[in-house]
Amino acid sequence: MKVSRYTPSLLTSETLEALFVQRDKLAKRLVEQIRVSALTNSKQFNLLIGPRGIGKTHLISMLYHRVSQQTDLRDHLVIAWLWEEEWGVGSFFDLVLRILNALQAECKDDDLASRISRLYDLSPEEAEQVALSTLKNFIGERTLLLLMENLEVVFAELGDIGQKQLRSFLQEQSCCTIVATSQSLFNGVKLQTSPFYGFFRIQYLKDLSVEEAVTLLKNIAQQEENRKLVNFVQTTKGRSRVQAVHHLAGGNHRIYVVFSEFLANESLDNLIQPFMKMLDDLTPYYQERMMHLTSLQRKIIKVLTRHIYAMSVKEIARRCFATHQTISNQLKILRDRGYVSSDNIGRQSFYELREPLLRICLSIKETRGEPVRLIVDFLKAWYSRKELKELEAQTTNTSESSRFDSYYLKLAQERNAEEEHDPRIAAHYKALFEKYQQKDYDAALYHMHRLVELQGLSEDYLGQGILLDNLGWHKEAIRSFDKALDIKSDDFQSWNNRGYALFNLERYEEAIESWDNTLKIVEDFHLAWTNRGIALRYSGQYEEAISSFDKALALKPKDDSVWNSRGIALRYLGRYEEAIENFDEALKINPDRKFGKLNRAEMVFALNPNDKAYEVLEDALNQLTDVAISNNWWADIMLISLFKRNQDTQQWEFHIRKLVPLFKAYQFLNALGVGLIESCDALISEMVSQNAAQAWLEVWTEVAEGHEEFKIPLRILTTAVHYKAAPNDPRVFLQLPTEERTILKQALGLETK
Amino acid sequence: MRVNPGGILSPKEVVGRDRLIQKLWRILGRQSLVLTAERRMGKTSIVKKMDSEAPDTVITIYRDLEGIKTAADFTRRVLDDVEKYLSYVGKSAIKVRDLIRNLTGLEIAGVVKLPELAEDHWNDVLQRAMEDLLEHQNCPVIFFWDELPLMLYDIKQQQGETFVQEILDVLRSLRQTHPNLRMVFTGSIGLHNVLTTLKRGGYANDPTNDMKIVDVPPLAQTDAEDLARQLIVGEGLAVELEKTAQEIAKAADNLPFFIHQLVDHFLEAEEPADVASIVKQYMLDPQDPWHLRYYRERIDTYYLNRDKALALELLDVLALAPEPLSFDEIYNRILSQTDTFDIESTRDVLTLLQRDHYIQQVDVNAYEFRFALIQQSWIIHRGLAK
Repeated sequence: MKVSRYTPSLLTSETLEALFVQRDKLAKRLVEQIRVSALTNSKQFNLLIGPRGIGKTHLISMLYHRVSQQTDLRDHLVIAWLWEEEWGVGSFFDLVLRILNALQAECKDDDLASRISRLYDLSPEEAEQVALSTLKNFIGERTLLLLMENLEVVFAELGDIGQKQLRSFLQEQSCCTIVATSQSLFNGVKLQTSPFYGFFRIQYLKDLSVEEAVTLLKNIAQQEENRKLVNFVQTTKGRSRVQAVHHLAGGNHRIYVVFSEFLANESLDNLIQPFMKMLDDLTPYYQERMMHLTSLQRKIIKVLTRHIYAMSVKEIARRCFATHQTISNQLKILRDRGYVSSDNIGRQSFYELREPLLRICLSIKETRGEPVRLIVDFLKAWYSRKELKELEAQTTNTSESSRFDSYYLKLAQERNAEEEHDPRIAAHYKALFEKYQQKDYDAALYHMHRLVELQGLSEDYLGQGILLDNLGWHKEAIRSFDKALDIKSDDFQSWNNRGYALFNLERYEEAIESWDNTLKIVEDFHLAWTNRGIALRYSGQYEEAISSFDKALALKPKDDSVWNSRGIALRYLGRYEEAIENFDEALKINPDRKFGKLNRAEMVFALNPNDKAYEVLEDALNQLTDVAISNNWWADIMLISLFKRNQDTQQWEFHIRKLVPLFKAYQFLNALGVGLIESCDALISEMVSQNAAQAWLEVWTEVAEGHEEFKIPLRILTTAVHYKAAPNDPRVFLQLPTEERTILKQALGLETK
Repeated sequence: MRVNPGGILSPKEVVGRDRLIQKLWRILGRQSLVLTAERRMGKTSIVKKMDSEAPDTVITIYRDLEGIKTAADFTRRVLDDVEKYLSYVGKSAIKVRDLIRNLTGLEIAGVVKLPELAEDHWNDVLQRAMEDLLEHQNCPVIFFWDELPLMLYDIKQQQGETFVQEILDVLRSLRQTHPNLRMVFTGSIGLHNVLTTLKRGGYANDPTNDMKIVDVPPLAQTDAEDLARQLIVGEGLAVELEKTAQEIAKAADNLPFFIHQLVDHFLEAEEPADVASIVKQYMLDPQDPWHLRYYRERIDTYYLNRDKALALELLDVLALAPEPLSFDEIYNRILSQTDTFDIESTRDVLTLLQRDHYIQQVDVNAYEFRFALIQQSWIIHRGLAK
């Protein structure tokens, strides 16, 4: 069955339900509120606001059906549905008459019909009195559910006195609940001086998102038993077509219904013909929308239809021969009513038509006999730049008949090139750099988002990803890099930065894969080799990490950070002498390298904790800056080597009694504390006896107990030793507060960091 | 309790007003009253609750007078109500019938309707209708006339000021003649604006000086928090109950309408939000959904040209003050901006602003914005934020 494009009120309840998307929560709440109004003395008034085609009538129709089907409400509720076309309600009396007629249509009550018919024999004054009492009597003890479409039109026609009479009726009778719709928030309900100020609960109906549009199209296709479309919208291409409709129609439900007819058409022939037909169908709809505007508002729309990109208020005002203030006010009204959308960049506001389809339809007359521009506009929106290029290549070398298509495609590509002159792009770039320099990354990100929306180049997604990553939104950053790579799969910077974001999430394997991809594109990218090496090291693949660092060093031998990183990898492998050589290289290039000397000193100590080693250590500690002290460095290898070197408690005590005051003197006791926690892993090895572990704990407790910095490390060490004794006893970890439990589990490798 | 922002509440849903209602009944034992407040303060809910829960010892008649354009229309409504009551107790409006027969020669059976021919004599009909109602009545009869100032304003527009003067005179004369008759006029700021206009037009005899004027205040803090709590529970909102109820009541200035609005916002919100950011969102919304700019616009509509600039200066000064200010402090801050205004004009306009609910006197010599919501909106919409 075909789905009606313009009159959802004629659809059956089943079809309406089958097509319904996005607003289920709202519909349920509205039905619940109607129930409360029907069953109690509390009466609710709702106003649904959204531009034409957003699905207001669909929602009202659904409410009508859902409420009608509630059998327990039948004795409590009567429904009067005033449809969209209730023109000519010039007074409160007219409204009462419409309500009576709607009730008669709904209830098919002969007595009511004859009472309505007798009204026409009376004078207007008498008829008004009788109509009102007929209405009150008919409602009786029940509640009247008034479904009113286009409330702003009804209110304008009712005028001030009519609105006051309506409010007075609602207040005095307390028997009515209303669900109304309107295209925008209007003065009749908004101003404190209007009778209905604050009376309605205002609900804005949102545009469809692309996801919701896909669901809607799937529902339509299923309803029309169009298998091809059901499958198509779930493909990548299908989604990009939906995106194109989204661009053309700005999330307007009605347009999706119209487009569902040829969304899945592949060839240009099958696309352009139905498109031209659709324009013929849609033009009266858009023309009718223009009828609702004042002449100045139409003039503004006309100016905007002649431009393919957004215009500044100043430029629109110039072209309308009107003042900036006047045009600015009118543009705000047009924006509220869903005709235009605005973009504020810095101090400037730019406006464009919200639905490019409006421009296409309104341009029909101007381009009569020469539909090229319309088709070009459409193709430009329909296909991506890449697709246009591919299609053109396909058609250029084939048959004679496709030359015409080729012509359109070429024009569409040229138009794409033109669009780069969109004035907003330059404005966004300017603002982006300003904000970036001011380190206002949030604001910079806004401009980057807008550039993504306006141009959607791979560079834009890359920039957006980098900013997101900087702001800590790593997952979102990865999505943005993926988008960039969808557009340009060989962009090494996107792969490289994707690696960083994954690294930040500690997803090391995936990060390594990203850097592998980077290096497939640019083999001599030193930074990617370095990053890859660090990720390998973090994931415990020390040998592979060293190979990766070797590649980086081959490209840039004087990189102290790579020498240092390589040294750390060797440190974990227990190759202390080689590690010392690497740290020496790093210090040769950069003698001030943070922790450079300390890394080296730790290795010297690990090799042999003699007096010389203590001298080296003190020298390294002496050169630490305050900044370095506040950073993370811990002496785990130093302590593990001490533990393993000589399992003699006296030796341990001797060294620990020297190390603690030494680190304390340089306010770096935390490095020993954390080192102690990190070395717990070595204790639970099967090679270590329970007695040795217990003895290690006792020595540390004896020496370090009095220091604040060791309170937590000692608690954790104690639990580690208990865990070693009873690894299957879950109560062991309960000795620790939650945070410390997590730290220990991570140190023991039972949980990932 | 379910949330219902702006809609019609059932009397039992009108919470936190019991003390005020008791006070109003006490006043009505002695005299008639005028109930004033800004829009959406809950005047109508209060009088409808009083109407529905009135003691058996009084007769109450509630009527919303909006949409009435002429004195005859008003009389017709009153006559309808009188007739309805009398037929309910098995009586009829004999005096009105006699009058109409004399005026029009029409013999009336069944329900009395005011024929066109008798419209010019609305004044007499109104008086006779009251006489019919109050004759043999031992208990007080109270007319709750909602939005009376609006009706007067519309009648003034339609028929001129003389009619308004006449209506108010007749109503006062009825109150003075019938000791059992009470009237409750409710309406937003309109009434004294209509009367002020009348005074300027040379009407010196204040026609409501026998009525007690009562201003509807916000809810007491505990009642406001209780309302918020009941709504949160009623809607099953998953929030920290006590904390959120307190925050909502505070942000809404203890005004029930805004409490309903804020709870409703929580229900609609797709992402969790805190009360302060919801309020800020309303304030910054270019649509101004609560129409708080009205308080700025109203200065232009109701204040005399000579007072407008001073009113704005005063409100700017008070908006930025974190604490209440004494008169001297206010005047000094005005002087630091401009020396255009003298001290007496400043005092007068300060009084006007107080009467129009912009500001309140919190101590012998301390003034502040009456509502933090309006103060906040004033700062935003006037661009005063530092």
